[in-house]
Amino acid sequence: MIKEIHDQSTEILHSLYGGDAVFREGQYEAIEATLTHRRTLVVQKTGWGKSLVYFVCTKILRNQGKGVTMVVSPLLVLMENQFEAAQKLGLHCEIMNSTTKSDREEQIQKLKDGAVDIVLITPETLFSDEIQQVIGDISIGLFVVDEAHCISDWGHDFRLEYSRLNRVINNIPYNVPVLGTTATANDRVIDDLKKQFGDNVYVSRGSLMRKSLSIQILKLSSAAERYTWILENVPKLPGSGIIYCLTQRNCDNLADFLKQNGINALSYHSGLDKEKITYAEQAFRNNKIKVLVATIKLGMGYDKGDIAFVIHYQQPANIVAYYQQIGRAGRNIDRAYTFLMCGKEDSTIQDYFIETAFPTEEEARQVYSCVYANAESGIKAKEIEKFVNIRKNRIDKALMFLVNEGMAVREHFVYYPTLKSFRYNKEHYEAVRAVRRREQKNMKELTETSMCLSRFVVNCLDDMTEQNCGICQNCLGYAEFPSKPDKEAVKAAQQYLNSIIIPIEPRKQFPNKDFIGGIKIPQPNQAGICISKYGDPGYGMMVQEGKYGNPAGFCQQLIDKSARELRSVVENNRITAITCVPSLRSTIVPDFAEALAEKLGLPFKVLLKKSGTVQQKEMDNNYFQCDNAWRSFSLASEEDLSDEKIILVDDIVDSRWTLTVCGYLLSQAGCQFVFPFALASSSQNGGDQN
Amino acid sequence: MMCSHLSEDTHSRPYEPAEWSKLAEKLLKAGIQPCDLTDLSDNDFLNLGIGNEEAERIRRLLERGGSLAFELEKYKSMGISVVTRADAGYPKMLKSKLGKSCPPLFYYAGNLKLAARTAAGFVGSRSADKNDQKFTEHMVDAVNRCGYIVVSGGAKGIDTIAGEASLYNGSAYIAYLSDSMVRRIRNKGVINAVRNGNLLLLSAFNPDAGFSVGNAMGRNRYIYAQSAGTVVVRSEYQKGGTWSGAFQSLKYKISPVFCWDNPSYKGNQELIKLGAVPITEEWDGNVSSVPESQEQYTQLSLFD
Repeated sequence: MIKEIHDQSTEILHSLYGGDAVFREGQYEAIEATLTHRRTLVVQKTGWGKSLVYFVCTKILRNQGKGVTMVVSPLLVLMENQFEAAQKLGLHCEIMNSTTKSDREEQIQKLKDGAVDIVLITPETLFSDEIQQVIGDISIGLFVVDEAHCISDWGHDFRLEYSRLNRVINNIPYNVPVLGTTATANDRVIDDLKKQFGDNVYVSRGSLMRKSLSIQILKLSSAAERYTWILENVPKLPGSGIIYCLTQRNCDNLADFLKQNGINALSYHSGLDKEKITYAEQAFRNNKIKVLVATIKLGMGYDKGDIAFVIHYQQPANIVAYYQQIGRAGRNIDRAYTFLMCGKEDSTIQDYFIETAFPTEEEARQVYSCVYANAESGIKAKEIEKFVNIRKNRIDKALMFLVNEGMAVREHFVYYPTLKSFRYNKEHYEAVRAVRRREQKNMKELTETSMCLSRFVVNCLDDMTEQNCGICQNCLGYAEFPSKPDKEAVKAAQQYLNSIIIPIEPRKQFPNKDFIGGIKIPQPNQAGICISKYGDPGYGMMVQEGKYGNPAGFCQQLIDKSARELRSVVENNRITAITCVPSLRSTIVPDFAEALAEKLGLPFKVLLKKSGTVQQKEMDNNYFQCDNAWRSFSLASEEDLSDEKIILVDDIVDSRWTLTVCGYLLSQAGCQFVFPFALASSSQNGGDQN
Repeated sequence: MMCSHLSEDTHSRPYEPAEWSKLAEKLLKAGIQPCDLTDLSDNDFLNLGIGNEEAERIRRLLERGGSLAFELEKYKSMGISVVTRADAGYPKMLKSKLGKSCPPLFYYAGNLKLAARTAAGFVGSRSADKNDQKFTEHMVDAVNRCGYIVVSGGAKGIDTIAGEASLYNGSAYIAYLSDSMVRRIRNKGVINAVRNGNLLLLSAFNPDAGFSVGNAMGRNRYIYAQSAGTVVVRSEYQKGGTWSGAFQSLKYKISPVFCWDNPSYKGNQELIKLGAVPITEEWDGNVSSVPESQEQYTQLSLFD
């Protein structure tokens, strides 16, 4: 039997790559293990050829008349590449994800008929009702979990849908082989995966070192310095590459800045519409652009062989994610360059992600109480918002936790309690957080070490190699690219950053019918603007100082800047007056609005009043925020505002409920046009990582 | 895997209990464990006296393994597990009393250890009036005092009254459900009883299955088999599940039948004529003790 496997595998390899082709180290062993050993885990670096293992296995199993190979993968981009590779092997391949929804019926029929050799499917699609209803009619010959580290909550990229997968794997009988693959798993994650896969797992594990990649550390603390360095050095780099940013807004701004300065760049993140995403993917794949400015949406498994450089605009959360991201570069080329920008401001956002990775015990308990109280009917996430003052994404996180721990189940977006009692495994979460902190600390240590940088990274992933890469700044003893940008050029970048305007998208709906009897806001605000991100260098810092300085008050520079940005709004829309969100605590907002009105030559009118309530910033979700604003504000008089076109000023915008409720009140008094304006945004939007 | 109705398709009918027993016997004789089935060739099957068609059916059923795992995961995440006849936790009373016809697997939620406790069965109509309720609760108190837990079918009416009364008394309750296990575990009372370890729900049918007369009839045997003796609170005459269940138990002597001697219930009176032990409010609740004269009467009347 073993001999047969060997002969068949070799034959398949030769038919693909010619008669001289040989398997890479460990590849054949992984194939044999999968076909004989039933449970196999392949931990190998990017570019090693993990997919060849399951392609060859599929070919052999299908020749034996076995069922379809089901490859569960979280990645859409990867699927396209795999699809092409499968076709080369003469395998009938189907892609099942959100983009192929329209073909679903036909695909399902083919699967039932056994006409498909290999199916690439996202966990979301796999666990969708339409697939779960027919899964019993599909014969599975091999079950592959791609990016298997996502199963483990010890991993840096644990995902809810994957946690269901590990329970599925537990229930797969031994006559169906299961193969897990990953490039980024340290000892602890591998141990955890071995437990999930059952006893007697064959682990294929090789060196993680990628000798074609060089790492250079760039200690640049301000955004302007980083922008300038990129502008000056990207043109010197060969081929095309990726710049990783932590937030969507970072991506948009940086891509925009580069474009304005003659570099062909595109932004890429999940906030873009589908067309733009596809366009960016294709333009990048075909080397039509120099650089893609992306969030980690462009992450695991992205298979473009000639990515020549990767720049990290900020430090990634941990060393494992970092390894994975630089691993995009240089797969099929001899040399690729990676740069890691770091500075003092980096850790706050990272700390936030680590500390909030799990719900707090209180959050979990409160959300669980809601689910339990509605045992018979079940409850939707949105309905929970009404009962607990917890931010929507924290509620979602708590629900995910409850489902993962088996205390709740989700069916058609409705959550039900299970028979398991509430338990908050504090020790485990603390332990996971400690690991994440250590991985974060590793990231910081990387920027300070004198060791070979590549070796330092793979050592952190438990590949204890003593080899050096020979090409990083520590191995060479000098940096291949400048470590600082030109000072004059930095000023220009700062000017660009100061000119960034953040839109305030109008809300169009109330959270539910409690407010005006319906959900739809009859006449929403105009799309407004905000001139800074609260606390950022430049205007954002001025806003912070204005709010908490002694004496408090917004400076002339902010008044001038606001007037400049609003001048065209006033002229194009024939604005008649300026008003502001009232405050009980201080007069800095009306003072500012009044000064702004004077500068713009408009009357300042007090149209709204506030009654004492709780501060808006203590409200954590849509329902509570809207409800609090709703009860706080009212019209100052019964004046008819039909003839007014108004700019509504506030200092800081976050959830937008204050501006929405105030705008709604003005529109109820007859006002036809409300344009919201704020000095700074403290919204977490753009703080998400996708 | 071979018997589960979870992932059923048209080509591969799962094995029914009796069929499975036959197959398992063939395997056992040849010294093959059911889990080795996956490795058998056509010839191996022929040697076992299994034709190509059946071998193909077995293979198709085995190939469901991958997809079956999804169904099992779904139920597991809700707290529903599977116990098969090969498992130590499988209700022993069923094995010993029903032999080959006991189901190859049960879905269950709650404390499986309760299946090893001695239980008193309660059966009766789905619509129970105040008197029925009073009588049932009274009888549950009596059996609980004797140390028995309660087993019933978990249906509306008598079943539920008996089960809840037993839980209320701090005793335990086993319900052999015929339908809707998934829906039933979404109930605070059920959740709490399970968490306290006092409740065991079992079903030989798909946990999502809705009500069916056939399934409801089928599971009555499990109640009688699980119990040391079963109390019939209210039965119709010659129709309905209560009647047929009690009749079967008397006929096949699955376990002793005790019947409320209520003159206005014709079904009850006829069951007593067929050999059920008549009981009234004064009964001590000892389902293990059957008057000798009663047993003789049972035999005479059933086969004349």
